[in-house]
Amino acid sequence: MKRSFLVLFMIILLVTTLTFANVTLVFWHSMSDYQKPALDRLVSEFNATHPNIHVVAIYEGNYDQTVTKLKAAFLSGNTPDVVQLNIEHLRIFTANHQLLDLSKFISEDPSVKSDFINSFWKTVVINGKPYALPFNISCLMLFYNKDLFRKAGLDPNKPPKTWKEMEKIAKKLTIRAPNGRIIQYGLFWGVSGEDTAFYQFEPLIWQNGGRIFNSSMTKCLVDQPPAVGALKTWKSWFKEGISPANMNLQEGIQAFMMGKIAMGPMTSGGIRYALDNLPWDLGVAMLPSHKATVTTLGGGSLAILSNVSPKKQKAAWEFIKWMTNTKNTLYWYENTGYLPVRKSALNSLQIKIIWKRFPQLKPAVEAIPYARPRPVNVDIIEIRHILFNAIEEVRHGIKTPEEAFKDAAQKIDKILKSEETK
Amino acid sequence: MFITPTGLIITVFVFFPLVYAFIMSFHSWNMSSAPMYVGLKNYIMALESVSFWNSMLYTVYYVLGVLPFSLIFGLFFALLLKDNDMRGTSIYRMIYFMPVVTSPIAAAMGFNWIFENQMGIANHLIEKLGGQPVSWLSTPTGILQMLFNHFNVVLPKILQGPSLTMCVIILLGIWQNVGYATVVYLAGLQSISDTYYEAASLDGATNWKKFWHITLPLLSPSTFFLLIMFTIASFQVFGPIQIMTPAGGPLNTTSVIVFYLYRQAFSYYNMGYAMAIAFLLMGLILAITVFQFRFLERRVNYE
Repeated sequence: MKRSFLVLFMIILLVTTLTFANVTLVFWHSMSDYQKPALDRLVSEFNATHPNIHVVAIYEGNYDQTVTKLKAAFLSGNTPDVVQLNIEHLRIFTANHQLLDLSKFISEDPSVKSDFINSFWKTVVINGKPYALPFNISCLMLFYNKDLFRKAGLDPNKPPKTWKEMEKIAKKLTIRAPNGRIIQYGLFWGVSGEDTAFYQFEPLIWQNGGRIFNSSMTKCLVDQPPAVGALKTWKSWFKEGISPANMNLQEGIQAFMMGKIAMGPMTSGGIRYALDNLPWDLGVAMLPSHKATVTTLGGGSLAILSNVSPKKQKAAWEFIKWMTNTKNTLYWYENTGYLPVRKSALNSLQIKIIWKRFPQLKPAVEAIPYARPRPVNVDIIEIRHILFNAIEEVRHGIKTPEEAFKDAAQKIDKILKSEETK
Repeated sequence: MFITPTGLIITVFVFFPLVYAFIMSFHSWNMSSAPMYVGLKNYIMALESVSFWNSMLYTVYYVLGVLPFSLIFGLFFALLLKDNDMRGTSIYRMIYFMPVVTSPIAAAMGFNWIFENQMGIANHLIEKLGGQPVSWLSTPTGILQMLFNHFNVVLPKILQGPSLTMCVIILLGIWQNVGYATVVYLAGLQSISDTYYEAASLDGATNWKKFWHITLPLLSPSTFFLLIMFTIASFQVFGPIQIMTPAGGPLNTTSVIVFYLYRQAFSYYNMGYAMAIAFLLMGLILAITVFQFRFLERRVNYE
């Protein structure tokens, strides 16, 4: 009885919202765990302030899963209206004209474009046309355990600035039990799942003065000396025992949270979660540099599908513009750690208040000028898995760094070549 | 007339996708662009691919690991639980059957927790007993190779055996199969008439002889049934692997054929290629099952 009332109530609620709202937008996103409540709050606030638009936000799994589901949705004709896509995945859909070209809206609203941070804006422009608005952009930051720094007699406010410094500090922070077993590691870098491992490894190549692809994305350059050199250095961290060789993704994060690992690169999108949940004092800093100072720019954007009606397009544009406006991007920044995407937000008074409350959020903003977008390609998921396997082979000592990256580059070149003929 | 509803359902949900998949296996298709006819290219690509054959090898490791132990332990427990007069028999039977009804996903998460590097129960016990903790879920070395490491011998890849991580997954497979085998064997045991045993006792047969000459041959229909069921299911293992090693395990050593297929289809969007693999797998399972029927069924004793 109770249940049937509940069902009836839900139906009435749904019907009323559908009839009173002129336009209903289905919005697919990939924000789970701690990010989801913040996103849901934004969406419900949008619904409350826009009586004629109703947005239904649906979680569709992580970025890669969203790509799969969206591809399937296009086949069945059951597509959403707005979708959150990783900036690396935009090309998968623009290649088949499945995303709406936003030029028309941008030309009507020129102030929007000029207010986005330039390097972020570039990630959504494909062949000169914008296909999305940057929404949750993050960069890779060095997370470190200040408590462990203090215990080892190091200054917790002086995180390592260079590879050399980092190796020195990591050695000091690596502690062995009397029986020789390592009970605390200094560093945790790129020892994780295939989605994140290469994400963490990429900046090492750039910092070593190298590149992963040529500028026209027709050739993989990891077999060149800078990339191989970075791989050698990375491998030495395992050899010296400062980075754990025997942990997978979950195990590593577990150990980091338990205070058994002192430093590691993590996405800025997790800063706020870490602050709320870690039992120890968290420090956040720019990644250490070597020949160059670089970090990785990643994250997601909001796109509109090209098959939605003009009326819905307008509402959808209203929605994605609102989600990325100065006030909301600051709210999003404060509650997750994803970077503010607007210039006006960086110069605002509120951001200074946020920094006062959460000083660890500040270094991420300071890293923006050094953040380099990740390489993008239609087959980027497969390519990244190949590169991940290559560094894994080196870590397990199956291949030398030269061999591993030479083989990987060959495989990737083959994929890139097959794209040209498609 | 009466089979129309069923026939319709089978046509729509089984026959049509099957034919569609077969046609797609001759195309190159990324789910977004229009499919392109490529002839046998997908099949050739699969047969030439190192990863494909590696996946096949890992699948064979899994099957060879799971099959014999599931049958042996199943029989062992069935013999223990055969006695109807024993107290609490039904409770024990229920306990042994429990892993079968446990969702493979939940079981895989449980195993993950047991064999976790830092906080897992397995490593905790090893350490309490004074041993070195083992990286169960991130060791790519084959177990046979581990043995031979002591003699500094490097085996050829095919003989290195399943990686330690694969062994954990095999253990999970056995754990889930044993209950099922036990129940099937129990039914088989109960249908063996006592008169055989009485006659054997009069002739002075030992317990071992009774088991070898009466129980085992008369259970052969059950064994044959289990063999076929487990072979087919083991070749298609996927759930536990996706949960325990979402990246395909250390150096892809747990990337069995269905996992490889899933990867190609839903991560890389090489749909046609994935379909080709699916049909190669189907052919293989079909061939093995036909083999089992033609050569093993002769040795089955039907009462």
